[in-house]
Amino acid sequence: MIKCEKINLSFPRQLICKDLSFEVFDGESICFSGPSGKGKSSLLKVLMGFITPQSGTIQIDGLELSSDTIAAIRNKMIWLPQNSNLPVDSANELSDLLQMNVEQVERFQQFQDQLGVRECGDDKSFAKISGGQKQRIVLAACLSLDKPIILLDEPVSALDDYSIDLLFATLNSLPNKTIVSTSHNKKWIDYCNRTIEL
Amino acid sequence: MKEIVDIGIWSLALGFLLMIIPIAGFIYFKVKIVKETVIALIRMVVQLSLVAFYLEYIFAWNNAWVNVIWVCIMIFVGAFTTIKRAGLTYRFFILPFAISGFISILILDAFFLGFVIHLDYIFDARYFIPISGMVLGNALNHNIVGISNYFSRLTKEQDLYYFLLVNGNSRKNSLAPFIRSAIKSGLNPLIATMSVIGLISLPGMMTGQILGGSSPMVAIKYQILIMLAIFVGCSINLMLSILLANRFAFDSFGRIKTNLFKK
Repeated sequence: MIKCEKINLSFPRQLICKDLSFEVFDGESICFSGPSGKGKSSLLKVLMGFITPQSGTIQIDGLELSSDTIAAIRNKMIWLPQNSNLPVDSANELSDLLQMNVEQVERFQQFQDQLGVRECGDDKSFAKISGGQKQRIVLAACLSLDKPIILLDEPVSALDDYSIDLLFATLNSLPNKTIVSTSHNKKWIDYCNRTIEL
Repeated sequence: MKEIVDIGIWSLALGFLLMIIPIAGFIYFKVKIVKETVIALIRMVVQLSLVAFYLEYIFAWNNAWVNVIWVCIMIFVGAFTTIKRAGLTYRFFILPFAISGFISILILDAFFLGFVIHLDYIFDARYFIPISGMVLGNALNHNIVGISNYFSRLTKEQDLYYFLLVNGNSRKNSLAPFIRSAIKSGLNPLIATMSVIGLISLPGMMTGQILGGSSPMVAIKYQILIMLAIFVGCSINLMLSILLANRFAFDSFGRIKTNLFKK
């Protein structure tokens, strides 16, 4: 379970949230929604310990987020960054960077199948495929790591309706995953159990 | 052995005449490096003159402590220069870079001067200072390239580092691609130099020895040893610099500190 209490986060000249408290139960999916530049991605980074809020406490599976617990907390998470704008050039390179074992590589290929990007190939350069395809390959790599908490930053921003349906089907096939996401896509917001408007 | 022909002060000055050509080229192409070139030339002359003056005394004294202090000064100057050229802040990096320089010189001098050349007196100024200097001078260039690559990539490709930090297994694994790239970029020029040495380049030390009257065979043996020492020294220095710098460049959450670069 993720439990945030009285989170205050602001940047110079920008208030992201004031006294924000919320809980996400195991197996639940929530979405931070709101216009661009409102700090949705920053809140995900707060959960991963990349941004420290001015005040407030964060507990993940009973562990209070601190420098002592951060490694254990990150070990429970996967994160799909926004637009998957990573300097990685192929599915193979991605699995190498993530140091996947044989089992994870097999799952990676299965998820690529489910997300409809298997034909993009392991060696094919990301420069030759679309942003949406790259995003789905990166997501497939993340999902293959099989961790209980899934953080998705704008997961459908580059996807068409058909690809979004494939994504829903894939996520529905994963039992008991906790999903925290950011999006302003109506279809995605409807898919999530709850929405927190920023 | 032939007596080496000394260069008169006017002959030396005549050598500077040739600088007119590149400087004229810079002016013609409006490359704004004339001032820097002139300053660098003046510094070179002053520094080398001072070194010649000091070395005369240091060689005459040949005192282990003085020699060690001299090499330590070179290590610190090297560490300062690396930090300055890479645009980093002194307070985080002076210690790791100085320690790396010190360890690499300690290993190299002990191994090459003690075990390979079998010097009775390892701190003999005629060997200890020039060989340490050659290694440190080369390590400096390759360190600057490797370290700059490492920290600029880490900053520019922060998302990849954070992506690997969350999705991967550990900080060590998350940094691995950046470390690989830094080592490659730092040492690739040296590998290229080594592969063409003797074909399209005659190294300074060997040329100096031949000009000084040594036989080419002796000069080549020294050159091979010095190239090995340079390569090993650069590799140890760069790898250690990165590993030690990592202890200061990240906070307790594994985040890249925001004040690593000089503003």
